[in-house]
Amino acid sequence: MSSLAKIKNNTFVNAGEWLRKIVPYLGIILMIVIFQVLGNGKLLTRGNINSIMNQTIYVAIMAFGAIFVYAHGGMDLSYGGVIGFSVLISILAANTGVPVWVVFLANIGAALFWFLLNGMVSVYLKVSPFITSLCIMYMCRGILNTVCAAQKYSVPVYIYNYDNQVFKLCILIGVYVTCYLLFEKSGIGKANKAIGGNPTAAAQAGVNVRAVRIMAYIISGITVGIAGFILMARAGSVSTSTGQGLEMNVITALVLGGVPLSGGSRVKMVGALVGSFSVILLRNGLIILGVNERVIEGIQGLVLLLLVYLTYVKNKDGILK
Amino acid sequence: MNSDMVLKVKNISKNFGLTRALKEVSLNIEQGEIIGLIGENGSGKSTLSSIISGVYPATSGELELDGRPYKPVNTMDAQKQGISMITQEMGTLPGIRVADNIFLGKEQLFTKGGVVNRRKMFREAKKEMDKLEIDHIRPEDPIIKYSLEERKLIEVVRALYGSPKIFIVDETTTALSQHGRDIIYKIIRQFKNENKTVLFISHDLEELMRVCSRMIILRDGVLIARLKKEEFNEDKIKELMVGRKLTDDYYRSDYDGSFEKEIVLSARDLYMGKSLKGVSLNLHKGEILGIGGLTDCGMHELGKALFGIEKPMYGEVVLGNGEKVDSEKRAIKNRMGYVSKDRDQEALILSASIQENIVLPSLSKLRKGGLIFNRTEKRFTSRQVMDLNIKCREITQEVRDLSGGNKQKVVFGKWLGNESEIFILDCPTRGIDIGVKAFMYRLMYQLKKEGKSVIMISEELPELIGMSDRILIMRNGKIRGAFERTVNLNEAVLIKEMV
Repeated sequence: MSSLAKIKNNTFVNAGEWLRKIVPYLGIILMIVIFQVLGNGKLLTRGNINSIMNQTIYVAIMAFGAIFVYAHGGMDLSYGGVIGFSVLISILAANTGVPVWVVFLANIGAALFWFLLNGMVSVYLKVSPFITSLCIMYMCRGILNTVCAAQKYSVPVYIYNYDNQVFKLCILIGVYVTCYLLFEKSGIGKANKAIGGNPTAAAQAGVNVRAVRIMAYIISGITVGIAGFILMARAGSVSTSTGQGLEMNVITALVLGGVPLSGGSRVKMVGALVGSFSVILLRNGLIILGVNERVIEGIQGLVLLLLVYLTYVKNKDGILK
Repeated sequence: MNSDMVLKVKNISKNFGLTRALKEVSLNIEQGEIIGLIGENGSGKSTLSSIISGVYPATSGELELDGRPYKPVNTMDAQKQGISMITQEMGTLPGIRVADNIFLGKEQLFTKGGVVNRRKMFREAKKEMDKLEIDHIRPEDPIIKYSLEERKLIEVVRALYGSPKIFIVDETTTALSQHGRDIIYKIIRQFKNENKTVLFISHDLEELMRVCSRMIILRDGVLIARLKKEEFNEDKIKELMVGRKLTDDYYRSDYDGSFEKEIVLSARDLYMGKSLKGVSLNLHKGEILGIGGLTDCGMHELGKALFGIEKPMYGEVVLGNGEKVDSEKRAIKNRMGYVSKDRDQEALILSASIQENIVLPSLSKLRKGGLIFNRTEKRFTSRQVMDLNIKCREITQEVRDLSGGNKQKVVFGKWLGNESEIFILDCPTRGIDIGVKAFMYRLMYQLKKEGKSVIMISEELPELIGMSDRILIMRNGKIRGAFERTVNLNEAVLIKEMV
């Protein structure tokens, strides 16, 4: 019994570990304080909080799914393109007068198709998912550009009923809890982390590496579909620029949440939640300070690079392999 | 008087965070000495050699080379000053040629007006390799053409270029076959003849006693003893290393090689590439089946085929219940466990915690109402950590930080936790110290007594003879001989079948 006690009683050596865990939270608090003060209190107004929530929700939902892919060392850059495609398909579906749950399934199916493609190509054809997803992003953009160039598609009016804070919050919480349990408390998440750590060792411990990797892309595709539904209800229409730049927001969210992009056991679901708030807070705060939206993209790129570098120095494995 | 002195180590200490790896170690090394450095895992021997060869600086203390202060900035700097090291881990760069690897960082020797004279470089590389009588490696070949062992030899050529005064061999021989070892031994003799110095680190005590002129024993970062050749005594050295008297039951003491009739696993006529050419075997309940041979005889691949990691082209692996082993997953479901000989590359997730590693094969069993709770995992892991006496700060500690022996215990913990009935152990005691080795042998014997079955693949004949109920010797992908456990079984008989 004494050695069990010894195992438990050893918190102080973990100061560094603890610090690494709380930095993402400190970042949020710091940003809130800075933007609130410099922005003359415009950050924490009812309207702005609403706007932050609205933007965070679909980034966060996509990030929850992305966690699975990034945990096993995979990658996906197609979020923006795929969510745009998903919105397009579901709006087309909604305009045929099908019930709303079919519209919802259209969202998921459209996103799932591309993610399954990325998963299959990277797992079976062994093409880097970085390249595959980049191509998928361009294909989706191409489709959007072609279809939306001449005509603007809008949702039927009843869809706006779903752009409602309570409903969206419920979806956010529901997706988070599901993803949390899948990732932290079930075999699929643990297997993904194990593959990210050492695929050979994972396989020798009985993990079906291919199936688990494909599964991660499927989960990610589903969450992009759900996010697509929310974006559709919010935007009400689809254009060539729908979803543009969202891939950057998702990846920045992961990194701001302390998720190592190389995967492995340090990947935590809560990081996606915290990071999504951080990235939207950062963008929103800068807008309040009067920074031009195009400049913000530049700043975001810089912040991402800086964070990847900082994590790289601290973490023996590096954030990107 | 002191003119013979090459290297003086004065009160060297090294801390890694809270861990004190070396404590005030002092040492004088003279010309022409072959010094053996021995100690258990984590005793600080690799730390000491790393400081001398410039891998990292000491926390405190000083080094003196030829009477002058010596503070190498990195390994390249150390090599310039005459100290080279080869280590256990891979040290060649893939993707470039053999000659490029040999002259890595010294390209300017062959450069004129910014252009590297390749031909001159190849010639020089050839000359260097001829010196060591390595005749089957071509300097212009890409390095990936060569096996791990050959790459190790290329590394040796690199280390010896520029004729160093001190040559450090850090646990290199474990990774080499007899041929490779012979080359290293020859180099060592040559060094002695030229009145130069070798620092030789190895787990193989017998090897050290044969080769070295003096031996330094470290324990827990402290220099415990300096022994002259005439003071070498195996039992005494082991005792000094572990700090307690070792009893004689290192291996099992009985010669009762019996086991039950029931067959739990059998291989039928396995063919696989160049490594297996028709291998059949039966493993019985309660049997320790030893498989020996030279490193490329196919026995390591056999282990992988038995566990379903590599698929044979022909033939099958069948369990006692008739089920075929066609994947790792199926093997594990049928309570098999596999310990790879490449511990860090294949058996462990180094960046994950002890807990994450140990629970991995058993996740489906730990599920409660569809979920796996942290406290269930903790209880499961703590039990293995206690049973196996894994030395760690906490079970959430990364496996990377553990010593070799404790890492191996974590690997065993995975399979013991999963209540395995059949263990396939590929070189289970490779690179671990005597204390843990003895523990592993006791564990294997206990498993046998509990009616479990063990296949032990090993390159070390003494442990095969010491532990197995039956030994199969392989050569060129085939089983050449089977030997029952008897008092009279000796290495010579087995070696005859191996080569």
